[in-house]
Amino acid sequence: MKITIQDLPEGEEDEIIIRCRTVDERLLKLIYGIRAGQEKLTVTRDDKLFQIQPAQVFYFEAVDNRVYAYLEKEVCETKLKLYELEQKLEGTDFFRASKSTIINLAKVKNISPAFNGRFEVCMKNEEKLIVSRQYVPILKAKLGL
Amino acid sequence: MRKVNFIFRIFAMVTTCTIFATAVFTTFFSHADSLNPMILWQIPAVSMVCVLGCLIYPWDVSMSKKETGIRIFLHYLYINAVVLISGWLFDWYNVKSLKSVMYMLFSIALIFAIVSAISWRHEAAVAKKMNEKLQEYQKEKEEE
Repeated sequence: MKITIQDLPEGEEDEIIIRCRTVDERLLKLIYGIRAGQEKLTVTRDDKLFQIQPAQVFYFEAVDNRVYAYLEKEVCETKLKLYELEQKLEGTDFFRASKSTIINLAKVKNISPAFNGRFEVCMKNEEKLIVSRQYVPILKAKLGL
Repeated sequence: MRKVNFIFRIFAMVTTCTIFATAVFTTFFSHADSLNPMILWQIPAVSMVCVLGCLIYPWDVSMSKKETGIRIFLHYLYINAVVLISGWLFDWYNVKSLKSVMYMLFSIALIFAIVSAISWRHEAAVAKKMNEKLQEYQKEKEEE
């Protein structure tokens, strides 16, 4: 793949143009990667608004119609619904793990079997979450299994 | 659909083990000349009722070790009740014979242990593969 970087006149916005015959999986990953790196999430904590990088989030959880973003030590609330986050984070490290959680695979320490066909994910901050049986194939596909 | 697939996978294991247990029981304990053909319906039907006990475990929620232990115990009691009551109704064993009752209890325990061990081993193997891939995935991400 040829990469060309052009100088832009002062004042013009940076732009990435992809010239290709077909958009293959490798290219899609690249596009998702660029988008994920650019997009920030607006969250609230103690009634204050913050912007965070999705990569900082360990997992998202929906509790009583509210969606929380769990960082290494802090918990923030996001106004986005879980399905909206799922769409927004498609192609990134995040995967749907159950009806109420979306987990960042980059923050997973290890995976162990739980009872009844489910798996337990131990996060790098030692929190434990369940991957329900319904979503195990998504995790497997994400890992290339 | 995945719930149905899971239930049928366990059902296949339970039914297979039950057929072996029935073969051992009829050969060494009952000494019956013939078997009632209805048993061919009774075994899968009772197996299915036992397998439905798996629904006692939540699908989406995390469980503590204590809660897991309690649910496994309740599931085991449920299976004992289903098999012993069905066996009594279908005349599979002699309720008045201690040897016969003990064999039924032993068979239930053995089948429960075998099915649980097979499921656990299968899931442990899957988890091992996932952990290997997870390490590769994270290594690739770090290199990027």
